[in-house]
Amino acid sequence: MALTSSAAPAASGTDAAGAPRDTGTPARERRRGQRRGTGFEQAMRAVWVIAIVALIGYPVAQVFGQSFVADDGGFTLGNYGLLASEPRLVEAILNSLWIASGTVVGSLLLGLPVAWFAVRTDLPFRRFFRGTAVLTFAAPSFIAALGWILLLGPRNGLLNTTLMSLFGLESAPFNIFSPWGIIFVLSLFLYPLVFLPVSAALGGIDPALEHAAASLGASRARVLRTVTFPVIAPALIAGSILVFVSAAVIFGPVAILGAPTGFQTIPTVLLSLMQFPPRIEAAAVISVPILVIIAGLLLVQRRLVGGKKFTVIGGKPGRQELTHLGPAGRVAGLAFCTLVVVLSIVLPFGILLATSFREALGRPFGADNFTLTGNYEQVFSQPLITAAMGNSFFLAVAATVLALALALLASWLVHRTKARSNAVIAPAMAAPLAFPGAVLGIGLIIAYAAPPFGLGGSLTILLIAYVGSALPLTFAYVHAGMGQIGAEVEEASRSLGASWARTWRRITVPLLRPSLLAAGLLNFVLLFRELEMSVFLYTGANPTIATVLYNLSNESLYQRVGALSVVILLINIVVAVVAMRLLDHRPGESRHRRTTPGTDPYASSEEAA
Amino acid sequence: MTHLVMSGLTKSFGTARVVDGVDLSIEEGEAVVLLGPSGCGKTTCLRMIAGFERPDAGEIRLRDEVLVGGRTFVPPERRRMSVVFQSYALWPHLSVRENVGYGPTTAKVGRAEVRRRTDEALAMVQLDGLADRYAHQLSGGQQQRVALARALVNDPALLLLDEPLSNLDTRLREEMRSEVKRIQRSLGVTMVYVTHDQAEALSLADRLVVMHDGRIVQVGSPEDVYRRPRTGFVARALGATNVLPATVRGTGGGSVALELPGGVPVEAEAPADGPLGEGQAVMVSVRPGDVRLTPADPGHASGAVVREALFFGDHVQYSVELPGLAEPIKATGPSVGRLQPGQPVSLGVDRGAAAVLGDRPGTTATGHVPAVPAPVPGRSAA
Ligand SMILES: Nc1ncnc2c1ncn2[C@@H]1O[C@H](COP(=O)(O)OP(=O)(O)OP(=O)(O)O)[C@@H](O)[C@H]1O
Ligand SMILES: [Mg+2]
Repeated sequence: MALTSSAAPAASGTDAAGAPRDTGTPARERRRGQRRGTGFEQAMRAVWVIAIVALIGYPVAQVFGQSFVADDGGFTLGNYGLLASEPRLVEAILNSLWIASGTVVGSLLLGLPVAWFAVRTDLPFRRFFRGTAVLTFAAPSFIAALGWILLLGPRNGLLNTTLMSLFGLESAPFNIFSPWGIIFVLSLFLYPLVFLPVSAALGGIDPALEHAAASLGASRARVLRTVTFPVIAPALIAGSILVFVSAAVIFGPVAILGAPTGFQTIPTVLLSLMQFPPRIEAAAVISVPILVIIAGLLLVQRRLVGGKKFTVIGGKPGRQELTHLGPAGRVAGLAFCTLVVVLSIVLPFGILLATSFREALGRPFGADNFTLTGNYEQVFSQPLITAAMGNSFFLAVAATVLALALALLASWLVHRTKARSNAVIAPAMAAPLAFPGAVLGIGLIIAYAAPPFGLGGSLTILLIAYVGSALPLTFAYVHAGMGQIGAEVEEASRSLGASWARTWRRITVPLLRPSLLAAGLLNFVLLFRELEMSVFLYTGANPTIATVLYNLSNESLYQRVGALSVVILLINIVVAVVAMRLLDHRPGESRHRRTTPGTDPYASSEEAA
Repeated sequence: MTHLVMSGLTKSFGTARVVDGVDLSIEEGEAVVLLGPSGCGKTTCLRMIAGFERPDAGEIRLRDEVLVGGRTFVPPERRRMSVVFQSYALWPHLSVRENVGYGPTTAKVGRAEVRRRTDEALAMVQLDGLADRYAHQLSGGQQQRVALARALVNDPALLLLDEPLSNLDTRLREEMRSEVKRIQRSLGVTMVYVTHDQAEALSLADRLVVMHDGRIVQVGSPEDVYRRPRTGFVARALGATNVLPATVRGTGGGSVALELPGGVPVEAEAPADGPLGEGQAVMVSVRPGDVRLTPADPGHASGAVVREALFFGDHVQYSVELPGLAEPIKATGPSVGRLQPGQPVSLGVDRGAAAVLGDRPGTTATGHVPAVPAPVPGRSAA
């Protein structure tokens, strides 16, 4: 609902944005925080605009701009000729498309069966399989890729050598350093993007639809084809688009697995273009069409998710009929789901853990090749690594705090002020989703590396990058949380004599705590191990933990890779556990929320703690 | 003593003028009820008084202080007005005690005093035992009491209530209605109460304000407004009624003799706004309870016939067809000696029970008369 604040001509000072109307308010009053249409509101809106432009708008505009800049600084379309004259650029784009398409197929092959088993059958442990799908997604994909090198590397991969000795093979049966290897690893990492929406759609299908079809005499296959599939199709396509976009621009696993054979996709070719001497115009020329295509795909995806969900799937949580699996079905289902868990989590992270206790890579596993702390000591004795730990920790915390502040500001504007321009806030906060880390990184370099800003290689430019990339997730949480807090809850406080500031401190922020905590901790986990942008922005002087790990793997120091990976994963897990604890057990808060009968957003409140 | 004065209060959202020149003054200790159909601007009025909305034009004064007007705008936290919301707006992260104690705590009156006032307020709404619960552990009626206590604890200059009982079931609503009245009386607090429930309005108000499309259409004591509605709209807002065309047959002695179609004689109080001429066509409102039905022979003078008789236990609702009227007349009668459909009847109206309306004949749809006013969509800014 678009609301103009005031169309009455009598109201003086309606500004162009249609926002504040009482320019007549004395400054003293404004500072007291009268919230509707005040100078305060205008100032907050200005702060938000400046922040978004600085974090996202200006860098992305620079990428577009640079693609049209000639050597002499004038305007040219000539740069796009590079696409014709440099075959490796086109090749990288084609490689990206190949990898992306392959990964979509792989993700569907993994995600659809698991979704069906976990949601619509009586498979044992189906809750567990659901949970692990989410867990996979939270685990860093480039670390998984490192694990797979240790398993399926052509020379020493554990699975390869095992298979060779079992079957007396001459050469390794698998080579992870290949496009197929990349697709394999990416599918195992990205299938939750298909699994999650499809299982939500499967679980949300009004059983009445299927019963109706079945009662009309349709066979099970026919029900599946004519009722079930059309209902989950939007979720399926939307999920596939997300997989496609993510796989086309992901850096970590591709860089790690493609490097030995020189296989490059868009982000890796962008990185090599930015190496000294940087060829910014070439990087920009590749980035622009990518941005356009991704934006288009994501718009389609949003359509699908936004449009169909609420019309087709009735909100009725009727009991769904679970398909009863026979003994054979059970075995097959368990085997398949277990295999997915083993491949996506147990094997890659298990081998890293095992390797971190290995003394020498060349000798086989065994008691004589065991060191409990040796590799960890080596890792922690390197000043570079401890510095990187410090940097990553600082960056993750600072960026999380800043992103939360910005998300609070944006949600406040959306929920508590009236202006036509509010409609752009949510899309702007979600926009970074459409910018691959590589492109955003390049944009930040163009925008801020050189004088007058001179931020190249500094922690500040990394911080800017992290805050920008954290915005979509942070805003999604805070915005949703804020949407559940009615304005009346704040107004009640104001009318009882509490100032605007006190109302925020005592009422709004405490009520938002679950959202703030969830967003903050998730951000911390994701930013602490951020690689995609960092690899463009860091320098030797300011490493982050993920770039250190990336370099260690380039130098094939796998015991230390293992140790460092285990450390990063442990930090991830600890934060995640703390997050769940904090979100679950807080007496008097998250579970005690029944205010508005009927319209109560927290109506699901359980028993008191 | 005049307490709160609103003058020329106007507010638009977009192009819709939601409150359109409201003038009203409220005396100290008075209970004023704003009544009107959904969307007529009651809540917006209340929110402007509380300081949550800023009027486009007009002024609000509390005693000598201008709250809003010209360049002045006093923010809500300095108006000393407590609001009870339809949604209660209790804070789910605070206990009942903390909810109620919020006002005094904010005012920094000291711990002992906060405790004393909180206990007092909780006792007032009879919630002494539940101070340590959270909102979700209370029933709807108890939540409502907490909201009331929270509003009263601050000794407000004005207590504002926006349909506070509409989320409660009928029995609880009646109980809370008398509770609100008792508390308001005993504290002598000035109250503005918004509702679209006629029973609440009539029983709670010292003065009743009927609103329509952002304007005040009638102000007066509940009895006055009920007995002498100025328009068909007001008459319907206060309960089921028959709005009928009538002809003036004679005036004098402060009353008017009228005749309904079919020659049914009616006597009404003479309206204050201008004399009526003999033979003039007017509209009158007659409450169903004031219509008397007596069995008559077929072919009697007025030709009225009972069409429907619905039994409600303590009374019977009739609809009576009268030649010359498009819609049947509603009437209620005692449940003993119930008349049957098809029974010819003669109609009578109690003396002085009819009210002459300001509406001109033809402007008020003679159509069917809803007991509860239908929602009036926001007018265009014509
Ligand atoms: N913040 C707002 N923005 C735009 N329009 C609004 C806003 N608040 C109210 N309105 C509109 O103003 C009109 C009057 O609203 P108001 O809430 O004052 O009605 P009400 O008399 O309280 O109705 P109800 O009995 O349903 O509560 C409605 O048409 C409503 O849609
Ligand atoms: Mg209202």
